[in-house]
Amino acid sequence: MTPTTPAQRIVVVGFGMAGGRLVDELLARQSGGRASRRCTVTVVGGEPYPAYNRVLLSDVVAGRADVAALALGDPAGYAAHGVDVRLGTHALAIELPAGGEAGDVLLDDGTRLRFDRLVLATGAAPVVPPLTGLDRDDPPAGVTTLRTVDDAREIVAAAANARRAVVLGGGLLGLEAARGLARRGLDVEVLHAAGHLLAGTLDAAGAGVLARALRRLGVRVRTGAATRAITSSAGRLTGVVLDGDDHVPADLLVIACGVRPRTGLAERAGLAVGRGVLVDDSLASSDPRVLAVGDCAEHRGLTPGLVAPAWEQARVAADLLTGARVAARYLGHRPAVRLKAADVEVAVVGDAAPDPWADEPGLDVVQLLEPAHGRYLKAVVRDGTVVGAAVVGDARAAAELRLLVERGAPAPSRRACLLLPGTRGDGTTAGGADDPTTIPDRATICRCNGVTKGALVRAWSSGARGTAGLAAATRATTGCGTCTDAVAGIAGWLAASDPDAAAPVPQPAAGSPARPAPAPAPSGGSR
Amino acid sequence: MAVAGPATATPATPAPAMPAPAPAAPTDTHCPYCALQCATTLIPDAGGLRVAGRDFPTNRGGLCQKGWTAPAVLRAADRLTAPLLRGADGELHPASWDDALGTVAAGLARLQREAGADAVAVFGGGGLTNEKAYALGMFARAVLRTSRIDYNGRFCMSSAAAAGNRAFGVDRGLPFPLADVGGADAVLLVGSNLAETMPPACAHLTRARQRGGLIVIDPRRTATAALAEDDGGLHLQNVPGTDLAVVLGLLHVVVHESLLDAAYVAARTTGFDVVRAAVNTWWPERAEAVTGVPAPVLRGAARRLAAAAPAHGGCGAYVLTGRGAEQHTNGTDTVTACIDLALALGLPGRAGSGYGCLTGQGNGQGGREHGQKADQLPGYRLISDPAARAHVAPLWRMAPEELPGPGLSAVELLAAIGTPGGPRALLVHGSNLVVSAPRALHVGERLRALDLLVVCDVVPSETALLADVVLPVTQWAEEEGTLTTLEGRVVRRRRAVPAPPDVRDELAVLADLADRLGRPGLMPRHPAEAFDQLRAASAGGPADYSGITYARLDAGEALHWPCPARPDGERPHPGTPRLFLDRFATTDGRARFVAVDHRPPADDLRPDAPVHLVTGRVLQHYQSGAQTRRVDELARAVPEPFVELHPDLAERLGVEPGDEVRVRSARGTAVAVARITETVRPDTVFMPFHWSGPGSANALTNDALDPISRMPEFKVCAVSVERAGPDREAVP
Repeated sequence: MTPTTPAQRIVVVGFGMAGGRLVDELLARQSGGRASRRCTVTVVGGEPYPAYNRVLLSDVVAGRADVAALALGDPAGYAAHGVDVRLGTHALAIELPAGGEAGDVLLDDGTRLRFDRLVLATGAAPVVPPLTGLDRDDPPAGVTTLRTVDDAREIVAAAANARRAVVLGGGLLGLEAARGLARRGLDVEVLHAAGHLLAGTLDAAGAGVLARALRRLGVRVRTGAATRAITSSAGRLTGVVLDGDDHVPADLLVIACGVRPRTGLAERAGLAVGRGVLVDDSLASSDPRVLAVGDCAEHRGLTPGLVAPAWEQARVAADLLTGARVAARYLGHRPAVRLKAADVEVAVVGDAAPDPWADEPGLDVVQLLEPAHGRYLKAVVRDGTVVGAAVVGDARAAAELRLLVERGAPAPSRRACLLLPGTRGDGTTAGGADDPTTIPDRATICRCNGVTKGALVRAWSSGARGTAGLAAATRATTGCGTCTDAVAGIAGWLAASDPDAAAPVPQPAAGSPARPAPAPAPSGGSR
Repeated sequence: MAVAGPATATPATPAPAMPAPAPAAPTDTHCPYCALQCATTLIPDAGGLRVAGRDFPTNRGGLCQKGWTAPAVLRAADRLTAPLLRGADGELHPASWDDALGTVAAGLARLQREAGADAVAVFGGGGLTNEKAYALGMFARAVLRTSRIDYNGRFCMSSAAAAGNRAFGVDRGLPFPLADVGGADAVLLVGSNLAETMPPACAHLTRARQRGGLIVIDPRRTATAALAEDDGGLHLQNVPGTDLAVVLGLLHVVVHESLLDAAYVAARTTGFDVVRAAVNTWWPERAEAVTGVPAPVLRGAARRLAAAAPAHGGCGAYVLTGRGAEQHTNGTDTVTACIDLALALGLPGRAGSGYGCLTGQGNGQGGREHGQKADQLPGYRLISDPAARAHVAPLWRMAPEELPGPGLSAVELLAAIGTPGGPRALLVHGSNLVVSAPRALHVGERLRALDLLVVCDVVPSETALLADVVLPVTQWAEEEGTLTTLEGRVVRRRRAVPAPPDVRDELAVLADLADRLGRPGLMPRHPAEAFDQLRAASAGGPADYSGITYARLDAGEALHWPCPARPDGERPHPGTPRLFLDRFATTDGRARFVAVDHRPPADDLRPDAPVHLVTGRVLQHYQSGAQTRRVDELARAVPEPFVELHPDLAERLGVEPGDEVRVRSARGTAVAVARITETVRPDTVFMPFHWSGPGSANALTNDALDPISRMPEFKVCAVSVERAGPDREAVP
């Protein structure tokens, strides 16, 4: 296309983490000169706020994210690029005339927007199970989901007065919310319908370690707990009722039972919809004029509900819409979850499911289970490549195994090193004030001047005495000074082992200072 | 390669028959190596010199092994003592100065006649004195009239310089005295291994270590990172090439956990809102996925740093960057993120806190201020600024419009050699670029494509050995001048011994060439004369030296720039140890937050190159090793290049300690001995870069450039590693 071609009209429906990222990516390609097609961008957001970081909402609950600082994107940049931002507005319908190149989207404020390309980024809605006593359109005070910034604000406000909280659902979001509420001093219980926490992600052993870790942090966990009803009084929550009629008193209920892609708009427009809006590797729906990205999109049977795939989809969609990289394709994403909760480390990445006892050629599963220390580690190797890992209670292993799986890294031949890296080797270090008798002679004591313990002993034999004498003879301690304690230790050990030796005048080593070595920096070494 | 004998031995070759100088008194000067410029006294001793440490704020009397042994470089057995000319037989032969300078002048004139002024290029160094750096820039612009001058500081300081200028409006490595760091509760070191590169500086970290506040970001557990062990602080051992993401993760925590110095941000900065939104996307668990640094460690590091900040009642905190952070294609942005972090915590421009860059080369600071850089005029003026041109041109007896414009950056300049319109002659001063430049094999090829290569050097460095003309010049203890330390303090280098008879000061060499090239009498011939010109040229510029004189320095004054001249009769300007206390050097006086984002290295891991290579220094050697490899004690301590591998990687590759391993990148291959150590990540190997030949680390490194600073990406590339040599015998 030539620059004189009319600008392509892009409408983005949804201004959450996927829609916001898409707008940012479109602008970056326009201002970076990579776009081969000019675009005008309109973005429609249902919430009254511009795109914000939904991932941090559980951190808001935990008091370690600032609710006033969640905004994503650069409003000044949007204005400068003429992005038409419409907040607090919902799309009601999409019109896709047969055979036409353009389409229309109708908004609830009566506006009709013409588009050449429409991108659905409508996200997902929280699932609220049917509970006796709960009117989903008018819940009693103290009952909320955790999907929007308003939800997070409500929970934080309620937590100020609440004493007992129940979190319905032991998935990632539920556990993060539970941990956050516990940090705020609430008595917290997680009710989880399945047999163990993070079912489908962790196995029972890992989930058991996790549940124990949570209990130690003041979060009670009840698994196999089907919730039947809520109780309320004077419009305020008073508790929940389990199958079997156990009543759990609570003045705050956070419902975290998963999410469902928002597909109504697409369905009404006649687009192919499964669990989400069906898209191909170009993120195109069944109508090439409409794309879908983020939680609302279903790609190759998956609706991951995670931010990393959503952002990758936004990148690919922006490449294709602007012509910056016409070969861009979204080829799926390796599943990766990471719990964000203080003092509870959980990461599951790639294919962590295989059973250690599975008798499958090329499969190698290593596992470490330490319930008493709150640690569970598992790595899955297929044909020599690390393909999956699950970690509870070990942040370092979580970080490293995530990287190995993401890279498809070759596994070390000793598989145990995956879980306990560097379990052997010659990592001897010197320079500390270790027991002078056990330091080997060849160990370097003063790194700055390459002085070994043997050299210090030889200097002693030549008559050097005390730390200053050894320093003058060998230059040890005269660099950074951090070995001063070690040299003093050796001087003391030598004096003790040879107390009667005369102390002749130190003989300087070749090239060393003849005047006494400068005293090591006064604060330089002793720690 | 010949190396010097031990201190007491007679040099093996008869040529450098050093005269016994026996000056009457010891000479106070500074170590010839790094930017710490440790103060020393040189004492005549048994026909040579002996070094004593001298009390000085940066080194407090301490020296490292390089400093103690520095006089051995003066006695290098293969010291250049006569000009060398390449003859018809292709070999270098001794020649008279008259012949050598005549050849150079005739060659330069002919090539410029044929191909224009830019046919000649100049390559300088960050080890040259201020006087030489000034003279070199002047020679290029006023005598050669070429735009093509750049220097090896482009490989060291350019990213921090670009970021500092962008945020603060001026670039002085440490805008505070180094000793101030000693009073802080926390110090964040990003990609600096100062325990090996400038050991005496470690003394200034003691207080932070005692408070658990030393935080080191480094892919290796270096000697510096080890100082954070045992409750000294935290080591964030990240994936190479991800420093920027680590710092964004820290900044995220500062923003979201209300650790910000909101009053400072409001009063002294601009641009925070955009940064706040940008770091929003770098929550610690995401940063962890990119960097390999566990999220709780990121949170802990940010909290410790913040607790030390004045806004939280701490005694102060510093954020300091080194080459590990800067030598990347995102180096400028990485430093910018570090500055953003420091600004969010309210550190810069406050006594006892701040951001600084730990300059590396001896005169890495002064070397970047006085005109060796492609886009600069003396006093840190921009050559594209009409006011700067109007100020400098008359001093060089030319019209402003006669000054050339900005030239090519180092890597681009070298890459242009042998291309149409590219340089055909190159003058090299104080740089051994076939060892120290990235993609070194390619650099060697480029130099061979020149019509005329002229190298001024002290010893027959690898670069000198490729030259058509080699000019022997003076070195540290044989010359007078000034250097500017990492803290922007100007110090005097003094002559303790005479140079060998036929060795000349580079100032005299440039002045002689100017005489032969039609600008007789223009160039300063002596250091004091050059410094006075530099003072005048820098007056009114960002790095104003006009109030600094040899007399004031010799009287022991501690003068940090800017130090403008004051009219006679007024009390002289005291210099500026601490910048920005009242305002930043921007137009509105506020520091600028700049939003940046992480991007991966230019040469990232791939199936056929699954391991990161990082490069760096060892304590015993300096830069290309041209000096330290000639000091027997240092060469014995670390005689050869090596490759550090983690035991897990070594085991997978079947490598045992002492095996030779072959390391391949898209640009070259190196073979060196394996050292197996847990201090390096299992996905990374490390090589020091001090050697040429088969073990040359820079044969592997990437010359991809930072888009702003034009810094090459020395610090990370993708390699494959295998055991070299015959198969081990099978164990029966």
